[in-house]
Amino acid sequence: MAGLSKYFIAVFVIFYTFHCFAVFSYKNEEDRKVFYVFQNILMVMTHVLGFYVLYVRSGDTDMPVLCILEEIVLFAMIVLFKYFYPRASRLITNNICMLLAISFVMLARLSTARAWKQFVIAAFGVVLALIIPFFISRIRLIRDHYWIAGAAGLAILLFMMTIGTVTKGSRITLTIAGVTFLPSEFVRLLFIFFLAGMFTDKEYSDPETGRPSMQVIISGAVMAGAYVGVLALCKDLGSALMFFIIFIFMLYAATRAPVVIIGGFCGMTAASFLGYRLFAHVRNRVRAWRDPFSDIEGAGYQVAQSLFAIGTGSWFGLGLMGGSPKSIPEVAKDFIFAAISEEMGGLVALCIILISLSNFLMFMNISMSINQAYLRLMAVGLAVNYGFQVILTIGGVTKFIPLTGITLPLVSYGGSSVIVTFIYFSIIQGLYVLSRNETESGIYPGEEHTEEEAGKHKAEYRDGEDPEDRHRKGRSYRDGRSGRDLHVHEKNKRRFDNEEAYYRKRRSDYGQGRQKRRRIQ
Amino acid sequence: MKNRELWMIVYIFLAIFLAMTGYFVYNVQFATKAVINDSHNMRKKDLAKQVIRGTIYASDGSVLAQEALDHDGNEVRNYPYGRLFSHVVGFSTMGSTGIENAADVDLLTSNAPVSEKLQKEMSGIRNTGDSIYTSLRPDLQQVCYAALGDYRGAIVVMEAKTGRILAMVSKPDFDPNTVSENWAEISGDEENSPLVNRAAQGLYPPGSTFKIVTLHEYMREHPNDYESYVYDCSGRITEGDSTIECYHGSVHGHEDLLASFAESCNTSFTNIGLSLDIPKLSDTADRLLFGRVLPSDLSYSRSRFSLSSVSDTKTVMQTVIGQGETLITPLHLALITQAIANKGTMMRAQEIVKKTNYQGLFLKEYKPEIYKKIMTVQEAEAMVKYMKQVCITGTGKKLSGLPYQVAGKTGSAEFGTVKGASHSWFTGFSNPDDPDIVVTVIMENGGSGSENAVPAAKKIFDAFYGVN
Repeated sequence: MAGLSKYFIAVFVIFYTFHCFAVFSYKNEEDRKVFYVFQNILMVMTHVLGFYVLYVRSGDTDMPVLCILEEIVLFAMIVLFKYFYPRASRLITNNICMLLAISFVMLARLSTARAWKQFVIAAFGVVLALIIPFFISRIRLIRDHYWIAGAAGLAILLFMMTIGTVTKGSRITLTIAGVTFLPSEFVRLLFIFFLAGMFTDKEYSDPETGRPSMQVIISGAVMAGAYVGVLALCKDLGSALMFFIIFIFMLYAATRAPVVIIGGFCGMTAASFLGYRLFAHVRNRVRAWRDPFSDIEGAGYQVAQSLFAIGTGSWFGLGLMGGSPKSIPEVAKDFIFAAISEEMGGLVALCIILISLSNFLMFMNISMSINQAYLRLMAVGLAVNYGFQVILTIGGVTKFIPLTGITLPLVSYGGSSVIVTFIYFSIIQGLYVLSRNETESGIYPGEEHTEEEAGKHKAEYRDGEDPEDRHRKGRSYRDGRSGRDLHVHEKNKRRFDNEEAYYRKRRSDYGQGRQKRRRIQ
Repeated sequence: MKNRELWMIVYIFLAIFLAMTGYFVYNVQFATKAVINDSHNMRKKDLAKQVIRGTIYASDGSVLAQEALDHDGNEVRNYPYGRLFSHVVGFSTMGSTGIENAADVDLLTSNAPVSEKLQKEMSGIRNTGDSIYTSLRPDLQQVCYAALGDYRGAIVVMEAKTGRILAMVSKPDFDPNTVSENWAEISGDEENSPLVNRAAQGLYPPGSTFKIVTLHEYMREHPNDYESYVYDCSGRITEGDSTIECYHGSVHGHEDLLASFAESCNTSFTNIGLSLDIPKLSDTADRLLFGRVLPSDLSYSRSRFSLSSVSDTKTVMQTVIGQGETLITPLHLALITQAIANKGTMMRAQEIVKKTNYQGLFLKEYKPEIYKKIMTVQEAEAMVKYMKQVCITGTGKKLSGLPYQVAGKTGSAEFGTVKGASHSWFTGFSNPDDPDIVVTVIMENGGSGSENAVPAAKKIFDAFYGVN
């Protein structure tokens, strides 16, 4: 049984991944339910079979205990999330759990001690994930004080610069209670809050198009430059690159000017060149990327080991406990993808890329469905943050791009990485719930809506649409709901008008407050 | 379009993801073999835990290496020919060398029928790795082994048109069956260094065999009038304060280029060398792969050549007759000879011909592969004419009057500080009109080329053509 396990695991994960994309063939969330449940079953089977093999081959009695506890956490995540937030995206919840499940198996194989730590952190993350969407409507608080978020982020970085420990030459870390934190990961969130708030600040944007003014763009660029500069000084160039990319894409989403993308890539090229000339460790990494085998005992060691792992594992892998993933330095963190590819096989590794892609697409999908500029821009920032982090990690491990020393969200071992990922996944979930409420029932948290009105919408919805009908109509379903579309449009317009008024009021309040303060000074 | 800028972001990321996925798939499927065969990859032992190492066969179907059980029922690697193939087949017990190393991943990959594979994996029995068929001929190998006698040195026999290795011997040797038991003794023997495959890793001064390169360069620089070259050899030539003498004090008198080459006249070739454009000669050496990567799967050393416009006269004089700083491996010299025989086209030096699964089911054929054109057809043909003359009237005339014709070049490479001590070289190929095999011989401290290396080569040609 254990001998064939690698094939079973590969099949489970492939089926799971297939359903990540297959669900979209059904427009209705109701019809997708069966796929989601199937995904959950596949996840449990992957996780349990993985631990079974680990137990059989290592005889470690921690394995069954760990397995059961982790199952409970994963189950709690799925069931409670569905209970508290029936309107959250189940695909995202499933993907979080699947990536965690694969990570749990691999970490248990690499180090029992780390697996326990990761389990505790993940359990904490689940609790956070359950709480955060509840507060999502309060996110306006951060919007209105985006400068505080921006300044706080920069302050944390500067603080870390002075007291943080440099590990492996290029990262600032902080160890609290045995858990190592990478503050730059938290700061990325603050940075996204900051940019989203600033670029959509009504006071400084074109009232017709909603695009930010030049003044805002410049101050955003200065702030982003400060972040990138501090990180570059700390030699954490991977993080610096992340901040830069987030800035470029959020600016592009806010201004809708293609020149931003072009300029961004030119800037990135110039900065990369500068980094290459300035920093010896950048040159080392580029050299190790171009030919890791020429300096296999030195700079190229890590990448060469990773390529050996991926290559030797081939499509089906060497089986859990069958390879030598521990020969890769930092395997549990930056190189977990190589370890998975080695023992669980290239197919499972490929599925991890695709599940991550599915997450990114869901994030973008959510951002598209949000009408409110601030929340929408924040979703874009989180999507870019996630997508680019995946590209940097997996690209570095597979020698697609030079190594940057970034972790793979949810899969890599690491305190801050898991917590931060949980936070922004749950923010996204919150935004999704918000956007679905917005478009489907007309209830918009924080807005004044009467129960009556909501009830009326609901009734209209039911009348105009027979859920059974959708099945039969198949693709013509879209045409069939034109009446409802019209209705939603009408409603949105109404809401938008309300919102305009709301903002006008807020703005004046805010403005008065500032004037008052100025006077005091 | 609504959300246009967001779709743009989606497309950009999709493109990067797609490129990355494609790169990953390509790597796992196609680029992986060369990577994981690297000797630094310790995961080969992980493969070996799951797969029984496959068998290596000679071209006549006899077994060169296989897994077998010893008296106590332990699995051991068995080499039926013992010392005969010790370097070229190599061993897999203490790290891996030779073909055992070059085909490591193939031998440790099982392409047994899927049902059998799954069944064995389920019951925890190891599958059997694929089999490798080589072009090595045990009969020729035996002859080479005997021809080298008690000399240290190496012999390479290659098919002239395909570059396939038929035999490769290096001495001193060792028994691969007991290499792990005797590891300390074998690896610690610095005087004989039996682990070194002298055929591919031994760096020797090329001696007069380098005159092939000098002659080739002279022909290139004088494409129309090289045949009108004449020289009066007085047995020595002096330029500045350095002097070159002909081998063992011989005096060749009035001679043309053909005779200079056939008789291997040092003074005449020094004279030619001094007239050459040194940077161009350096380019030519580069083109002939001195200091470069060789087209071979075996571990080899890179040959060395260091001459530039700043080199002094003494170095130039020594280099053009194959002394000085230049060092070459027998495999490299065999490849150059092969290219000359094959109208200027160098082939990859191959030992592996095909791969089957352990039951003999065909999987893959390794076809002869063109590596590089190192000289034009005309240049190669002109060179063949000169090399034929060597084996008619020149230093290789022991190879004349036989049922087959040979074209080649001898060499006596002085080494160390002992005056008169030299390695004995021969490199050549048979049947120049439709070349059959290339033979390259080096016998350490074997005196002149004609003395020992030529007779050794003759034995090999005789055996190939069935002449007694």
